[in-house]
Amino acid sequence: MSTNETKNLLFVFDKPPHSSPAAKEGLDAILTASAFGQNVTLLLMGDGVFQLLNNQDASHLPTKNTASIFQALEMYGIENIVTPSENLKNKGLSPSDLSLHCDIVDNIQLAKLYVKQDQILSF
Amino acid sequence: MTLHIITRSDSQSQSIHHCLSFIGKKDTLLFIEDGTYCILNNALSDALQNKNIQCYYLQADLAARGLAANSDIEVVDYDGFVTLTENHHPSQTWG
Amino acid sequence: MGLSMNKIESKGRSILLDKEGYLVSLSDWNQSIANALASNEGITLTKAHWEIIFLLRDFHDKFEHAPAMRILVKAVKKQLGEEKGNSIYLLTLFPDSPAKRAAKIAGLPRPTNCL
Repeated sequence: MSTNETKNLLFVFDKPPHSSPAAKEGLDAILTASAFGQNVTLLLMGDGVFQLLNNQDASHLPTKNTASIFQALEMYGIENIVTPSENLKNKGLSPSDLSLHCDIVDNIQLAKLYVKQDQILSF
Repeated sequence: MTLHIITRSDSQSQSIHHCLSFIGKKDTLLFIEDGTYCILNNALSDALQNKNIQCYYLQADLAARGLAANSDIEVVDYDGFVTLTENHHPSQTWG
Repeated sequence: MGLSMNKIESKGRSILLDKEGYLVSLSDWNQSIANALASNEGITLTKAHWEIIFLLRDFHDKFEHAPAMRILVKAVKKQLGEEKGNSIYLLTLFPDSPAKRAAKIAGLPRPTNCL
């Protein structure tokens, strides 16, 4: 690609792992976007935060172990991972239950995050 | 401001509730496909009205599902859908 | 799904490849199959090649995908240092498209995001 324009792209994952190809597709998209130097943020809404639960063992499932692919985000330079505090609370989770560091945001910060984006993609 | 496009009903997906948790007054909601079933949830409609959020429903999807538009809501056709996406930036299609 | 399957022979076994030459079943891989896959690509494996192959296999074990070039370079740099963690070095070992060729020989799927 010849463009050197950097865009703010927000990837919203709101589905749990293993039951659909959504996370795999979303990961392909976010890794590609970051490989092209775009400024990406990953937002885990609702069940999307289950993607990061520790101790997932999908070895007996026929699907890809997406939890492992999330571990590569750091290698791809994707450091902005966000989830709403309300969401963690609703699910009885704390940041230590998650396999990656997330910025825990309130709804006001979330609204501000949206305002900054050029494109929003849901998976 | 953001156009949130809701494509699934409030019992199929949490997306309308996720939106409501942080959506601002200047944002707009567009209900299409199974998202149009949200019109039946009175508590939801009240919450949207209280927040003063502009809502649109896609006429063809309402009609296909036998849902009736009421006077409180705005209905758009496909051209209106396109205009909404042109006038809002960015837009998010919640899956 | 393409139906055009290729095969590779190794130690009397016939191993299925997809139409791009990647292993159909990743569990088929062993070192002698790597040698066969490499000679298919016109490459004779040396110690330097094996170092990259095993690094890639570790990467895949950990992250469940094979990296495209930029991340491969980054991973090699991190693990083996600056003088190997660059595209020229990798191009010398695996000419034309190192990420794809090395993944293929390492018995991994096609690199993700290799557009």
